[in-house]
Amino acid sequence: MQSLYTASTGMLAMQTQIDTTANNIANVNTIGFKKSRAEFADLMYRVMEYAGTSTSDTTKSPTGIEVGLGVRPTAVNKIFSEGSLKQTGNQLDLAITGKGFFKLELPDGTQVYTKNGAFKVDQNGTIVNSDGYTLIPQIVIPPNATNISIGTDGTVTVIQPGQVQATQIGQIQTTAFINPAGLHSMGSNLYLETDASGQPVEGVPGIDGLGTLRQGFVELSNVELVVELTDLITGQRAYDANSKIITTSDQMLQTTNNLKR
Amino acid sequence: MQTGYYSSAAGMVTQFNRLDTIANNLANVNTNGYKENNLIVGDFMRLYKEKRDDLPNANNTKEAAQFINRTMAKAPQIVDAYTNFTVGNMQKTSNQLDLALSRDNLFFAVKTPEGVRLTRDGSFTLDDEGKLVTKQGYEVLGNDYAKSKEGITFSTTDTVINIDKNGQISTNVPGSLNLTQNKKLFIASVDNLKYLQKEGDNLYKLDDMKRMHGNEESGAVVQGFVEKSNVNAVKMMTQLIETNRLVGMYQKAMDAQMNDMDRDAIEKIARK
Repeated sequence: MQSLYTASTGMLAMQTQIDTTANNIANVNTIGFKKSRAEFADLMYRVMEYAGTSTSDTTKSPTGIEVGLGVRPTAVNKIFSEGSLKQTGNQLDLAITGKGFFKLELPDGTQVYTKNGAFKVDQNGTIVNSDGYTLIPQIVIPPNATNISIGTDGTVTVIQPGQVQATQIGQIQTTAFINPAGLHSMGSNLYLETDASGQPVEGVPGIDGLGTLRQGFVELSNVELVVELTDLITGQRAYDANSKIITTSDQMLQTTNNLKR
Repeated sequence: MQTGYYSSAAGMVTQFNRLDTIANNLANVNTNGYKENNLIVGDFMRLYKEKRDDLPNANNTKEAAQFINRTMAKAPQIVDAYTNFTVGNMQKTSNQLDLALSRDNLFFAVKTPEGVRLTRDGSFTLDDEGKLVTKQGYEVLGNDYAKSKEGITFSTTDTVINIDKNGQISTNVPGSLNLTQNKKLFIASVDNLKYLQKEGDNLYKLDDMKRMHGNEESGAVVQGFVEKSNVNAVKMMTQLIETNRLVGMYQKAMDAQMNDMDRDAIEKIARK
């Protein structure tokens, strides 16, 4: 009864789809979140009759008979389309419009990347993210600064008391990857470089294909509920259909068992 | 002994095989670019007629009679399998690297370690070197692949990737939105779709590569869409019910022959 196992691969694959959809929906309001999409491919084929075998002296079987053995998930693919921007008016909220990630450093020195630009300052005035990880290159806001302004190219300037001219105190750089879908998601909106993502390419926002920065905005999640709910429905129905195969296979086995009374 | 008993048994086996195919179709109901498989069950009359037509002897000889008898004992069986290549539903994803083909005899060509394979699953991605690859990491081939042996490469400065209906890829000049032409996708068509052999991983194998041709003006590439599976769930469910009921019927037939009739024969004849 191959069908029992085939249907169970189907159920497992659909479970993956529902899990992915659930995570997308759960993160519909997460700043800088990028949705994922489960993708599948057919498994292998058992050949019952090879194409091209002779059916008589002069004729050959044109197609052969192959029975597929099910399905497997091939990828849970992160989709880096842009989320919509929300104005917050907060001086340290930054959104990247286009390609690029902010680089952060974890306490152990690991460099990680994020799309979440809702930054804060810590007790020393250093720009950090909500978990306290430092933005790289490190920028320290002077304690007496009255106004912080961040240009679309990442230049950070402040106005200090008694001064009319703004002083530049740093330059925010962003990082691009050739294959952002290959980054490893660590959770907490953070991504880690992998062999599949390619080397990080650092640069000034707005140059070499990197997106520009918007101060006072955050990038919302790119999850679209309509799409997710459609995927949820198709996933559930496919799960249903595969479970029907299992019950039917079971009934048919029972029928054969009834041959012997 | 009772030929009918073995025919029914063979009918049952056939239905179990059919169930395997239905199960595979339903397992792939959400697989991008998957094409439904169908089986043809050879009925008795057709097999009989086919065999009679190529009989070696005149119909009334002893050898011919033996031949027909042998043929008649052949029970229902799966004689053929075919893949339904109709185009599946198109789902809009707005993803630059999702491509679909809007006609049923066109394919993307990819380079695998075993050679060139065809696929309808156009949800591509880039690898760490910027090459356009499938989700299994196989390079997607451009129309110059025979000469260059290379796939299609993008760089981090390409923010806009535009692919027109013939598969011509254009990317923006760094720092502006003016497009320059990159490579062109190889869009394959096949002499006859029945030569394609499914290999798993959404790939099709072609034994004789001469049967594949390139299409410069296909007009069928759609960017930002993926082609979903073309499995028709209603049809599959109907077939599932049918399979289930047929097995029940064969069981009844076998039961009647072996249990009821034979018992009658043994009990009643023995009493006389």
